Amino acid sequence: MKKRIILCICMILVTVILLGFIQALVQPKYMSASREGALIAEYYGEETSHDVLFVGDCEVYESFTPPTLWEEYGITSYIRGSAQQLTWQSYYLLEEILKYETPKVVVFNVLALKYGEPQDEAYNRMTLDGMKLSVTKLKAISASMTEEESFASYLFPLLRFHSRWKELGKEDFTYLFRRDTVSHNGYLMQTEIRGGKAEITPSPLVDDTLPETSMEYLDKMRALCEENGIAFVLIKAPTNDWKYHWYDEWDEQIVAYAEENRLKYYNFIPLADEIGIDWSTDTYDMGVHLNVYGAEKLTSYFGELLVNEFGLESRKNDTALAETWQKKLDAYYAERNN
Amino acid sequence: MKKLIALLLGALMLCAMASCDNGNEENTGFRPFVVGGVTVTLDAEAEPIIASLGAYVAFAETGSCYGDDKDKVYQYTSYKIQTYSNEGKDYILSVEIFDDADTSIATPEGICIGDSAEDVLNKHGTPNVQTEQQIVYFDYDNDAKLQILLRDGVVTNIQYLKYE
Repeated sequence: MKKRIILCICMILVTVILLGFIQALVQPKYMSASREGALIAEYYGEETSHDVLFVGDCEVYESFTPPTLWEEYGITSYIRGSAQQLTWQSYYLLEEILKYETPKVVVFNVLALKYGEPQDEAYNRMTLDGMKLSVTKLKAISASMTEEESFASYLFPLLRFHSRWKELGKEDFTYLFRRDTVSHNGYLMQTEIRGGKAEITPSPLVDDTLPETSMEYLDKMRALCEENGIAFVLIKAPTNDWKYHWYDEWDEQIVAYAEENRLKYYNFIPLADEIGIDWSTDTYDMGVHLNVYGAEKLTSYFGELLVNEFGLESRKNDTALAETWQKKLDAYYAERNN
Repeated sequence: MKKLIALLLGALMLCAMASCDNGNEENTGFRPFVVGGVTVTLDAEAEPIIASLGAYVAFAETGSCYGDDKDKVYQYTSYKIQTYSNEGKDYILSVEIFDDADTSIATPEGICIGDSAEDVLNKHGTPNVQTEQQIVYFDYDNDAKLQILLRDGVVTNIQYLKYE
């Protein structure tokens, strides 16, 4: 009897290990293609705290460069951004961040407020699969799933990705148990220049009110920051493409919300010239996102605001911190000037 | 014991073998738009259509926030055509009429910018959705919709598009 129980336990263990191995093998690695999918998990490797935390969609991880904030202002920062990060995902990421650290300033990019419902599984995966298992992650999954998705597939990604066995490549084996770092404190570098801004007429809005759900989560973020003594700052990146358009009607609502709650809101779209953005050189995709040259300009501009409006001070006198950031700067310039 | 082993191995095999392939559906629902004398069908290969339409006023290529696939948009006087890419080829995603500068641009049933909501209902029939802001017709078999936007009861924008 005892022998049978031991055999049974061994069989279960072997099966669990085998399933775990297969799960690790078939999960997307996001190392060469769709590197955005690797961003969320990289935060857990951080060893020092941050003065400023950014949350939001691609407009945060393509518009601000933490190494520049350090180099020019001695401000430490991290971007917890992901592709099409929905407002409730930003909220839960913020909730999770506060378990690790309490930044002085939290910055949220407002474009994602236009989405009032879960959108797309591929985007969900790039935010949620990278989060460590916690109650916060479970809440984030629950808030994010589209009708076609299952909760179990987020807990056991093998259920979702089993069919990838047909397309496994070298990358799946190379990164089976490890990942390279793809970002610079959450900034995903783009060095390509593809200038110009297409003059395409944006499609009109059917309903110009920002969705109630996303506004509720915005308010939850505001309250969370208030409870923790954090300055909550709203921004809109200077990019304003026809497809990801920031409408004046939405802007008016955010201006009103910021006034009502005594928050700072910086819409950088009309400030692009003042910031020094040159649309012929500072974008890698014809004005949809900034490249590294545009992001550095915006970061320099924003750094001054952080110093003047929020009283952030340089931490360059902290030798240990300075050493850590020098390594980050070296890695940043190695990629930038490659 | 044998049953348990068989059950676990069976579950493992099922996970490994199952697949979730989706096929493209062919659009046969709404009457296709005709713009600039060229018939534009949703999901049709874009290259010959764009070539036939001649010079455009503006063009943009926009990727998603991730991935290599690009949506393209070609803007002409009064309308624009958006395409999506799939395995290296572009296909028609939408046709949008956004102003009345070119009065020849209309739906196949003859609705133009500036027509009334009543005109829409008379020519297109009973809609699937009707509010003060829009009248929408769905072709559920082909994941397509005709969305007519209104302001003060007047048509301001017409979109014929694929939806997810």
